[in-house]
Formats: sequence, C-alpha cells, structure tokens
Amino acid sequence: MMRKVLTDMSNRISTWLEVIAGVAIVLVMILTGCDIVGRAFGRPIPGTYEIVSFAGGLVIGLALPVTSRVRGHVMVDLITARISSRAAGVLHGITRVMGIALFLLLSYAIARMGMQLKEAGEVTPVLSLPFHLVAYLIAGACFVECLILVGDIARGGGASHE
Amino acid sequence: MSEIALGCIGLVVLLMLFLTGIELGFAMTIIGFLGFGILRSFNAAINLMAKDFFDAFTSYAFIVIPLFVLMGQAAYNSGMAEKLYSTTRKFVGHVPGGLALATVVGATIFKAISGSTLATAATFSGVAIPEMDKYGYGRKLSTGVVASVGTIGMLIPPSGNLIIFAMITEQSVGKLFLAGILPGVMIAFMFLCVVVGWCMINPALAPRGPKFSWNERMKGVPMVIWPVVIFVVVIGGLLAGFFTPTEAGAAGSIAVLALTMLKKDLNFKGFVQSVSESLRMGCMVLVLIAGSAVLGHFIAMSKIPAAVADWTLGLGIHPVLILCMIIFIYLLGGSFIDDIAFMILATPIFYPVVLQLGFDPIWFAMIIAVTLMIGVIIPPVAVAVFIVKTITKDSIWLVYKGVMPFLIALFVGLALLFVFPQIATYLPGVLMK
Repeated sequence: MMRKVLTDMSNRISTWLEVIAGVAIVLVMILTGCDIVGRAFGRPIPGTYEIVSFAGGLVIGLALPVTSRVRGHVMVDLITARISSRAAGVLHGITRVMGIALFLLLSYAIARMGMQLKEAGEVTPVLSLPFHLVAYLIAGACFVECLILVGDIARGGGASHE
Repeated sequence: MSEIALGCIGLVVLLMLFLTGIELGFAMTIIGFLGFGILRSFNAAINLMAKDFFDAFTSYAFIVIPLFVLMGQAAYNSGMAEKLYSTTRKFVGHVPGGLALATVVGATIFKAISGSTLATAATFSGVAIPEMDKYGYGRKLSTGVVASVGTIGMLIPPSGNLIIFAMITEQSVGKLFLAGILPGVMIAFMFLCVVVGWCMINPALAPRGPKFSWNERMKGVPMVIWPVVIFVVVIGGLLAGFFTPTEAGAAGSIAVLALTMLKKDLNFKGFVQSVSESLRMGCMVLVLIAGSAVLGHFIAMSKIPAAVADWTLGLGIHPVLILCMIIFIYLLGGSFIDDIAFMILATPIFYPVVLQLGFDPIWFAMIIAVTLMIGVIIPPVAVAVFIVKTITKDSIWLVYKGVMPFLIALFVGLALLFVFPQIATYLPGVLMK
C-alpha cells in the first residue's frame, strides 16, 4: 500500500514538472524565434538572453525526475545484465541509495546557494530577474528526484530502460 | 597520498562504479564531489557541486541541445524519414542495390535535420528493411546498411556530438558544423560505394526494384527539398553569424514544426512526444555535462591532465602515435560506454594533450566523431546493431556480418581523414576565416 502511494505520488509530481518543463521549452523556442524576427527589423526583444537562460534552468531541472523515472539517463548494464537477479537487485538498491544521498545533498546545496543569491540581491542586468527563484526550483526538482529514486527502490527497478 | 595518486584512484573507482549500473552522470558527480572534498574541503565541494549544476542547467548555450533534439524528433514523429526514403527509392530503386542506395541517401538527408543516430536506425529498420525484403534483398545487406547509416549523423550538422564537443572544448559550433560536412558526405559516398561493390560481387544479394516514371519521381521531390531548405537556412544562418547556435536550434525547431503541422504530418500527440523526448534527451546530456564539470574540477585539481600531457610528451614517441593511442582509447571506451558519455568523460583529459601536441582541435573533433561512429557499431555495445536486431528479430551475428563492409569503409574514412586533415579543415578555413 505504502509502496503504491509513494510510486503514484512521485509519478504524478514528476509528470506535472515535465508538463511545466515542456511549456518552458516551447516558450523558449517561440521567444527566441520572435527575437530573431524582431532583430531582423531592428527591434529585438530585450532580455531574451536572460529569459532563455532562466527557462533553461526550468526545462532541464524540472525534466530531471521524469528522465530518471523512465530511466532515460545513460548507464552501463554490461555486468548487471549478466549476474543473478538477486545480486542485480542488491546492486540496484545500493546505486539508488547513492543517488538519493547525492540528490538530497544537491537539493540542500542549491537551496543554500539560492538563499545566498537572495541575500546578496543578485538579479539579471536587463530585466532584474532574481536568480534565487530558479535556484529554489532546481533544488525542489532535485528533491523530487529523490522521491523518484525512493519509488524506484519500492518498484524494485522494474521500469524499462530507454 | 599525492594529488595525482588520488586522482588515479578516483578514476579507477569511477570505472568500477560505472559497472554497478548507476547513472553515469550521477557517478561522475559523486566521485568529483568526494575527490574535491578530500583534496580541498567538503564545504567547498558542496558549493562547487551546486554551482556546476546551476550553471549547466541555466546556461544559455546548453539550451541548444533540447532545441535541436526537438527539431529532430518533430521530423522523426512526422514520418519525414519514411517519405524521404520513398522518394529516393523512386529515383534509384531500379538499379541493382538501389533500395540500399536509397537508404543511404534518404538517411543522409534525414540526418541533416535530425541529430539522432538511433532514431534513424529504428526508423529505417521499420521502413527500408521490409521494402528490401519485398524485392528479395539479402538480410545481411539490408540490416547492415540500416545499422550503419545512422552513424553518419555524428558528422552531418546539426550533430549533437559536435555541439557537445564544442561546449566542452570552447570551440565554435559553426566551425565544427562546417568541418563535419565534407567528412560526412565522404563517408556517405563510401557507403554508397560499399553497396555498389557488394552488389557487383554478389548480384543475387540485391535484385532490381521497380522502375518509376519521371512523373512519379518528381511528385516526391518537394519532400526532399524542404528538409534541405531548412538545413541551408538554419546552418547557413548560423555560419553567416545571423544566429547563435541556440537561435539556430529554435529557428530549426519552429521551421520543422510549422512545416510538419501545416502539412498535417504531425498531430498533437506527436508534438507532445517530440517535446517530451527533447526534455529527456536534453536532461540526460546536461546531467552528464554537469557531472563531468564536477568531476573535471577534481581531475584538474589532482593535476592529472597536466601529468598526462607531460608524460605523453616525455615518452619521446611521435605525436601521431600518441594520437593513435588516444583514438584507440576513444574506440575502446565508445564501444563499452555510450558514445556521448564517453566523449564527455574523456575529452577534458585528452584535449589538452592534443593541443600540446600541436594538432588542430577542429580536425581532432572530426577524428573523434568518426571514431565514435565506429564505436556504436562494433561489439560489445553496438547500440545501432542492437536496435536493428531487436526490430528485425534477426540474429545479432547476421547484423554484425552485414555491418562489416561498412565498418571497413569507416576505418578507411578515418584513415583518409587522418592523412588528409584538409577534408575537415578546408571548409572552416575558407568560409570562416
């Protein structure tokens, strides 16, 4: 029961984050296209560079959980495919725990960086967009990544590798 | 313990960690973090890791990767590859081996707007092989040609590998794209020669297909012209300095999406699928890049790149021999680990050596691209071969046998590129002085 709740919750959150990331990449594409056309007529869109950089953070950061969920990251299965399923399961559990520790630490580190950016009042030069907001979003996505990895342990690594 | 010894231990542990089945980007980050923490301090390592991930994810330059993937995925999901193949086969299908020739030409044109080697292998497995079966082509030829053609995309712009190489080495994306054109076309031409030669030796392998009237042939020409126009505008705009690479990716995506949606070749589901794939691919690559940045700081601090450079130069052997050794390492690594992952891992270590030896970085990028092309079709991890085998349900050995003549062509291509660097450096030299 607990396993199902955990898996469902992490799946749902990662899907929503993917939707936001998807909207962000489409907006990046449209904004950049409009900027190119505007520039051709001597009217570029101010701050395009900043918006695209910020949106890039959303695109990649928020796509992180779903990429892990569908096992879209590069991994080597030369050994794991050739050992017993029990040994592979143990190895899988160990690597998930390492991943959880890594992303918990990353989530904390990027959130701490966001706080420092906020305290320093760091903003972009043209549109004055605050850097810390993107840092918080990426930190949040890293935390969701931990949930996905916990869910992966609960599932026993059953998701197919892309 | 010395810094270099710690760096070497870190790399050995990293390779062992790879074998556990952990995500490579995660492994690089973990080792980079631990190594940097031991050498400097763990508080500094935490800050460094946060900064590397934040910088990679919010980099204006890196957003080019999901944008070019989106362009390629939209083309893929719209069925453009099938139409390109259908058109090219009407022109050359009636000559001996014509359907295999059409596969090479169709895939090369498709690659001009799609960066994915595996998508090309998967698409042409589903389209070209059944067609070749229908006309009695030998499975060795049909599976071999399909598994090999996808690799051409590593050279023909917009190549994902070249974009990533440019990011790692701070080279011009435009120069690398230009440099990839001649070697890409040369290898495509060599693949055509392999098909013709093979069919001359064994005509039973590829009987003639049906002959189409000029009227029927011309009907499909717009399908070939559009991708070429998009390619010329996007890559031309980039080379002329009108676009940055990110803008070229956005312009290309808009052009392909507009074209495929207006022609009703891409529905909403296909669009969502394309966006989704671009996010996942972009994320996969950027986690690798962020992880390699963390690892790179540790490796740089351990002074390994300088030690490798000093050691190789101190060996007193000819620079070409050293380069051959580096190529061999890429070949070995690329055939065990994913090609992009290995390039991201190995380039920061070997690139300084190559520069110190006085080799042209653009030429080196092309050499590495061809080496990785070989890596994806030789055992044990021949991804393109596995895809064809999975789709066609043929034995892996049959596909390997089919790939062999094309593999020889790739080695010949690599040798030519090695002996005549101008094949890579001519266009950037003339057009981007």
